[in-house]
Amino acid sequence: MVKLGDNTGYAPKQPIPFSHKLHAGDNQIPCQYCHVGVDKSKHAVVPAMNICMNCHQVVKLDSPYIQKLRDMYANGQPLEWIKVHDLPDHVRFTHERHIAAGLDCTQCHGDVGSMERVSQVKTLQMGFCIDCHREKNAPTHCESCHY
Amino acid sequence: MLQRIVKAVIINMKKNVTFWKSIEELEQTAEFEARTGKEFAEPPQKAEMSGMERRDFLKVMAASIAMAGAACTRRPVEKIMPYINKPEGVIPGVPVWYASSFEDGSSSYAVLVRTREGRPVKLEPNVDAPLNATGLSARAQASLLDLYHPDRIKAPSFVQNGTLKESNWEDLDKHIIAKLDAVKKTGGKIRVLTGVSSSPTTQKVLRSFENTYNAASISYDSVFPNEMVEAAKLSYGKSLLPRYRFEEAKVIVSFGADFLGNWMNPVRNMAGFSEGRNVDAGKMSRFIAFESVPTVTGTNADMFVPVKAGDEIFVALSLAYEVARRTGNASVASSLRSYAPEKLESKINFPASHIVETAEELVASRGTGLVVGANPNAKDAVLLQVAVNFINSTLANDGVTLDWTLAPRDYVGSSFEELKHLVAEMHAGEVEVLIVADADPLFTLPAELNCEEALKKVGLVISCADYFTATSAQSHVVCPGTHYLEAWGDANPERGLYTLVQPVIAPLHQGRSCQDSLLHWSGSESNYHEVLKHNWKSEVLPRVSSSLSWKDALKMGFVDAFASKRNDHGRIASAETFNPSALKNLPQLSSSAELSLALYPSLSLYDGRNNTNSWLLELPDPVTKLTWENVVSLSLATATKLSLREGDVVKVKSETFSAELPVHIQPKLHDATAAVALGFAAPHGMQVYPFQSYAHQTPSWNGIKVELEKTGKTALLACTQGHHELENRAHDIFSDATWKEFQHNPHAGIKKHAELPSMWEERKYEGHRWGMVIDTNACTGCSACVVACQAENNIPVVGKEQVIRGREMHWIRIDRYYSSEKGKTANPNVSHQPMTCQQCSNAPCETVCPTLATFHSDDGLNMMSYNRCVGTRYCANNCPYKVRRFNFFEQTLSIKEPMNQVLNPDITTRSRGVMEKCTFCIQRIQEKRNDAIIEKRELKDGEIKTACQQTCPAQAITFGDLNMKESQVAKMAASQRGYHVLAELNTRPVVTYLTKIRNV
Repeated sequence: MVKLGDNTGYAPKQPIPFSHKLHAGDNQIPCQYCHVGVDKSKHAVVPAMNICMNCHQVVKLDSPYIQKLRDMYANGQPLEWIKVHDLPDHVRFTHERHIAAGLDCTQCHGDVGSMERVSQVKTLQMGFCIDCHREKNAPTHCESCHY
Repeated sequence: MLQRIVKAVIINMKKNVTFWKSIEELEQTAEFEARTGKEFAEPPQKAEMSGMERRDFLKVMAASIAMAGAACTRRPVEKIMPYINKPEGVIPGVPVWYASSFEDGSSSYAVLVRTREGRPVKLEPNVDAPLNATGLSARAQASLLDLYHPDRIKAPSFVQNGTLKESNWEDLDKHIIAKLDAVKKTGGKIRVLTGVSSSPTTQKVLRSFENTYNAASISYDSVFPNEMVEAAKLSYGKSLLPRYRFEEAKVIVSFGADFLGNWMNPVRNMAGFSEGRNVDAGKMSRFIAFESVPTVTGTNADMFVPVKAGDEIFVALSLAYEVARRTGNASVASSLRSYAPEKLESKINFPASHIVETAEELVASRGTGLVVGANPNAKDAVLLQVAVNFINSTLANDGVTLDWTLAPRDYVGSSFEELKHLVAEMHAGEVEVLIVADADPLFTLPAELNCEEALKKVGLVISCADYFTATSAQSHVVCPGTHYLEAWGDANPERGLYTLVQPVIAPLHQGRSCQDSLLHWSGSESNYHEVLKHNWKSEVLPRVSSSLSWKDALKMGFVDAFASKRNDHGRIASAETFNPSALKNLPQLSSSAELSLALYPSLSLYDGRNNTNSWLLELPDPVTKLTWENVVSLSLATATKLSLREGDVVKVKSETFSAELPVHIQPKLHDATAAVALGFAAPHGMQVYPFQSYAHQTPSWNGIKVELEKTGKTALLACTQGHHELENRAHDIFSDATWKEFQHNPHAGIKKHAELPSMWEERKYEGHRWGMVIDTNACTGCSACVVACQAENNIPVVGKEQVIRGREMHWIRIDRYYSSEKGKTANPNVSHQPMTCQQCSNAPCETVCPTLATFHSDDGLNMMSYNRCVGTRYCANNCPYKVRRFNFFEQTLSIKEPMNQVLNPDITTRSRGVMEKCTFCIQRIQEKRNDAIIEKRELKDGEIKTACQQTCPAQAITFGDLNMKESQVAKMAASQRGYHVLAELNTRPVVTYLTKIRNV
């Protein structure tokens, strides 16, 4: 039986092979240093390029990828990241509420600090969400997420 | 056919009053009978969007499904584009609010703009400003769409052979400055023609331009009430515009001014008017309207007297005579003797009793009455306004119900005489350069002025316009301007009150505000932003306080230098200062039996300045309920006499102009009046400005003699009323009562029904229970809620064809009911009832959905999940309120860039095949609940406002948590005036309506 909408294992190639293992794992940069605003917004907010440049103005300038980043930044071209954790359009997920409820990023995104290339580890299908919601007595009425 | 209801009107045994929604329903015409009773219009329509018929598609799919292998799990690749440099304070997904202001002819509002990711998506009233505190008008809400209109001129252009040839600012500026310098050297005339605006900094810019080039400027708007300014000058010696306090008026008389629609500050007027009729607080005013065209204002009158177009002046003078006589003003009474009510009755067949009664009531309410004039450019408009001034002053209403002290300093336009002088200069070939900004003289000015010829004689015509208007087409150069949401500016709508306009988005195209253009051409180094800032810092802010900074002002959006005195009842004008010799040039009392035309600025299009705004074009006019075009309205008697029916196309002929328009039968219209709305132009309606008469060298918009000639053609009118039949249920739908009845019995008008058992267990609502109360006594029918809902909820515009089929998508609609005693249908009472999804506890729609796409939530809402809906349409069939709207076509395909940017990202934009309806703005409920949960606090009463509630100027809609102790909505839902629509169907709606009380 083919499972529709299950994207576990999706790990697309990104324009720059950004390694979370290097940044979040080895260098232990906290998630919210780059993903600013995840606790204030619906979106997780992929960091703006000026956040990358905070360090990469001086760090690892010899890497061709960093040079690509710096060139694009200087030319005003945004990096086109491929979205890994994508929910269908009819789902409205709010990061803000989940952070406020005390969830850790790894519970849904897996151990990102060990990923060279980000891949989706949980199914993120509705059942996955409802299971946790039922466990934690979070709202399960339809209009919480579908409106 | 199953048993047909012979007569769809029910006769109330007690009152002998019938309710009806349209003339067709009253008459039970054959077409009406054929159309109603059917849930959806037939025959099924082929989608123009796709080339294939639905059944063919299914046949093809059936074949191909057999051949399809395993379904693919790969979904489309989505990209994330981060900011390159994230602006400080902006977090994607979190809205940012700015304060700005909006000026629309003679109305001015302080607005709050909600922006998402740098683009404005919704306008709300700035409730802190003492101007329009409670709401915004329909036009103000729709102004958002104009920012994203695809027809906006993108680049500065030269005009060649009536078409635009794109250029750039450098070339254009060089060309213009060269010409200006050349003309300055030879001493030629340079003129600037603008619309009327209250912006003090714009005045400064104009002065500086005038000084640089020895130029002169005229600011004139046909629809601006210039007659009031002139009348004030004649009456009191000062050119002023008054401000009104309808909340303090016990008796209000109007001669056609649409003060609850689009005249002066309708939002403030509506708030005051509703407050003055707050029956629960024991307040009730009496409103008598003498109108040639039934406006939305007139539909709220307790006594409505139809007047032949052009005869308002006689009625006004007659009323002035009566008031003078009763207050012992012998000299004025004798000069107006020829207008005594008896004379009106004998000479123009106008019932004397109406004038006598009105005068009695006015005199009895001395000091608390209010007389308001006529719509702009009525016949003998200035004299009519002088008569109005006389009555108000004689009865000591000045300073109480109308206030001259609040008039701002510089807010008056030029007179028509000055405009005529300019046109004469142009005709004489004296004007070398003409700059036209924020005005369209070729569209609106009388044909006799021959502006087109005059323009041809001007060396260089520069049109600062956003759209390719009639005037732009005859210009040499078009300089695209900026929408107010992209521009800096200010306004001074009342004495001491200054509001700011700030840009919330960079100009979408290459527009440049006309002030910036003028500054650049004057050789100024500064741009308008700098000039504005400087002006405010040096002149405006010090008037308010020495500690107020520019940033403070920007944040608030307004400053008030007159705050402590705003409610003073100072009197500039009074009986002592009124100059009786202003009552001069009295017209002869005579009338003919011919048909008289009245042109009026429609509620939605006003004078035509946004006549391509699709939200406004699809907004049903509150009186006619027509969309997408203008028509010639006639009374039923006149139409019958001329053997004309609804939709027949006639040629309306005046002495100087003719146009073909479809006929619309309009109750409350005087038999000798034909009414046509201004502002429309092909392809949506007809340009009718050329009908305006130019007798006595001033434009007049009513009292124009016309004839109707049949053409034999018929047209289908896109009317939103008349799709459904009332089916003997009138008194289950709308309750009204008279003031006397209400005072004896607070439940007056409400039909009692039996306690009904329910098949299902009563739902328990622990936690929140969302409810709404709609006060039909406060609702004036202005339809601002309709546009606000459209803006907030991404409701598509369907176009005229689909509206004819009953497929308009508005989630909230204002149902218009006429009610009259049997046989007296010419001047019925009008009732407005906003109708939304009633969120029924026993919803008939929920039980029939095969996919459970619609269901009831724990907090009392009837929810709609669009992705589950397969488009059975059974729910819409079952809904007795007919509030469910179906997406027959893929409306998103017709959204042209950049209009897609107006869509609210917080709500799903529905695609084809999906049912939608009012959700009580679930996105707002979720947003505020989110905030409260994160801040670890309870929700406050009134914190969540639905879009309709937030924009209602009369505060007729209240929304909130019925389970919250002491919440406003719980208190109002328990009101003795409360009833549910179609209660006996036992749907148990959560929307409570409050009875309308009429002071008859």
